[in-house]
Amino acid sequence: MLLIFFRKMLNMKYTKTFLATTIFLLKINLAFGTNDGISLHQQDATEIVSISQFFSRQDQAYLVTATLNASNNSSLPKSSLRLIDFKSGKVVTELPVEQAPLVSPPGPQTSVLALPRLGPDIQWKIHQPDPKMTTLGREKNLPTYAVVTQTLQDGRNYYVFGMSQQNEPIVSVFGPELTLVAEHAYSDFSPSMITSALVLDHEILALISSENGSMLLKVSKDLQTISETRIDGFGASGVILPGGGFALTYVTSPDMVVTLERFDVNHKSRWKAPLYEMSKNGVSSGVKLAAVPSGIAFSGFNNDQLLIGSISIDGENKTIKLASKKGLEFDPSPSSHFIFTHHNSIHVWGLAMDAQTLKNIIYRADYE
Amino acid sequence: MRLKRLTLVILLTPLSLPLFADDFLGGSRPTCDPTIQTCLPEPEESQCDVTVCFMTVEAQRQYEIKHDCVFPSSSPCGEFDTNTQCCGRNPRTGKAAIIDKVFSTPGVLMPDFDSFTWANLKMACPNLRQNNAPPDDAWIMCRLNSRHNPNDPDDHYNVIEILNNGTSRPFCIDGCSTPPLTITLLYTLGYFLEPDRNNPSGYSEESSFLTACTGHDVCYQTCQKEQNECDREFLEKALNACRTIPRHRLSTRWMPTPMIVNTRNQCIRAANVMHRGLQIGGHSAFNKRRQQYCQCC
Repeated sequence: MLLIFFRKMLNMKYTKTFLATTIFLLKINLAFGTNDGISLHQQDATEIVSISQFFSRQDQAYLVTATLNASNNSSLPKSSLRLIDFKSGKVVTELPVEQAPLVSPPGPQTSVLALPRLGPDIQWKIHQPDPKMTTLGREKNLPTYAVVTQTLQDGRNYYVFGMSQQNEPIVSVFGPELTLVAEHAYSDFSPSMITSALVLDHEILALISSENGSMLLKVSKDLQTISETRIDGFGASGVILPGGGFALTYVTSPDMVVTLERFDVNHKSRWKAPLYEMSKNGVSSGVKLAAVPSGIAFSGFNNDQLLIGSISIDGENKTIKLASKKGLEFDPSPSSHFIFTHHNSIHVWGLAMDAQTLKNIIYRADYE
Repeated sequence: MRLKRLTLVILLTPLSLPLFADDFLGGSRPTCDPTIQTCLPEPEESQCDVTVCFMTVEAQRQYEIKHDCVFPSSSPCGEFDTNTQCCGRNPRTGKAAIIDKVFSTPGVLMPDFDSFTWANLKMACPNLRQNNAPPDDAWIMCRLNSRHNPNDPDDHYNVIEILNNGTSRPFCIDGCSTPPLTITLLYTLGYFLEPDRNNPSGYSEESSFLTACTGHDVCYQTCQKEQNECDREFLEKALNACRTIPRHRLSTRWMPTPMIVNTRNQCIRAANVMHRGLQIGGHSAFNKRRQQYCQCC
């Protein structure tokens, strides 16, 4: 009976349509998968040079993809920045840029975008997009920076964090017109960089990372050192919690346990929780953090898999989900994946590689 | 009455025609005998194809006779010194032009067309060839352990190898030219596993990109392929170097955050980011090399 049906199908004038539909459905299936409660979408990213995370002055969160359309003739390639709604994946606006940034800051950027420009060597600039997000707007050179890791807005001022050309942790403050208000490189900690920063009411917490470990540096808003505290781990980064206080994550050594520690409004440690032990048998990393109403969300990699999880604000309840797809090789570099949250849902965008073609893939993982 | 008017018109017409004709042609009023035949200007000789130049005046005259045309006196072509000049074409106008054989002024293609780009050069010089001129302001030297041009901010590294190219200028090899600060950035963010411009994965000699970069240097210094072809060849060779790394080899990084990465994949990412860097910022170096290594004819 089935054979007769297929014979009939083959003779049907709609056979081509049927086959096309089948192939289309197969393709959809390949591009979309759900495992362990995480839905994983992937798309070709041949044109994408780098990705970053941007929060506009209107508090909209975007994934920013830097694209390069290289022509086959000798004309210059066309570059643009696409600001993408992290929930829907739709391009909200596209800004033409002289050069697609080769890499992007690994941390979130708020109100000002830091872009590296290739000339005789790398040169960082910050840009203040206009409110309608149609142009990159006002710009300012960052001649002392080798790496920009994060930008923040505090009141009318903008903060830039990273590593100086002398491999020192560095912070700069810019006024509303992007005039430099203050800049300080903390040479006592060289070589190291600020991997993450939190702006509180009266001070700034800068997390410094080096090959020797991490440090929590508390500085005033005019960048004078208030205190420095050693952190018992590597690659520290943090997030401010809406209910007050903040959370830090770091990786202990030598056992490589990814740890989360919560601090209250008085900067006292309330609890410390191990999230997972990094596997030595596959691609693994520490986590990036984001706040959710129910607690703290995090994303990273373990044993070749993408890891998404959350922990309650009291540290008692922890959920960790893993996702992977055959042939999809995740890039664990901190510039290649970003965590977004919407209410209690967690969305991770990142770059990966197709193991067969070695082509760039952009993926989106949603955990509701 | 009607006959009288008609007679007047017939009598006046020959007097007025030359004036109308002159106005129509747009020339100045003739001072000759006012008849139609003598007042019209001589028919102009047809102009020769202006995209042709000649090495001698006699060759130009022979061409004019053969093709029953003349070159305008304003034509930039004519006799020129074949030792130092070539018959080419103004890339802006498309018209024939005498062009210097060697572009010894940095960044200058033609005095009235000062931008030196590969696209302009190809248009200006249909008979491009490898440069065999002695050192000049654009190509100062090729010496081991010295930079091509110490004053050029794009030349970051010393020459590590010199490859002879017959009577043409030798190829100057300086390895992978990722600028120093860019290496710091790529290493710090985890794209490079080692801060080594020639071997960013640091795995073995086979995983080094030096062969790919040497090929890329030679390609930029050869007056033949387009930049994207040279860049593409670099990427393919670099990826081949990465394929020598065992598939499941892992490396550990502690900065900027602790990571266990697949060494081969990270090598591939380094190759890709270097290729992107060439696509984004390689034009300047490519055009400079073409100026140094190409001559117009």
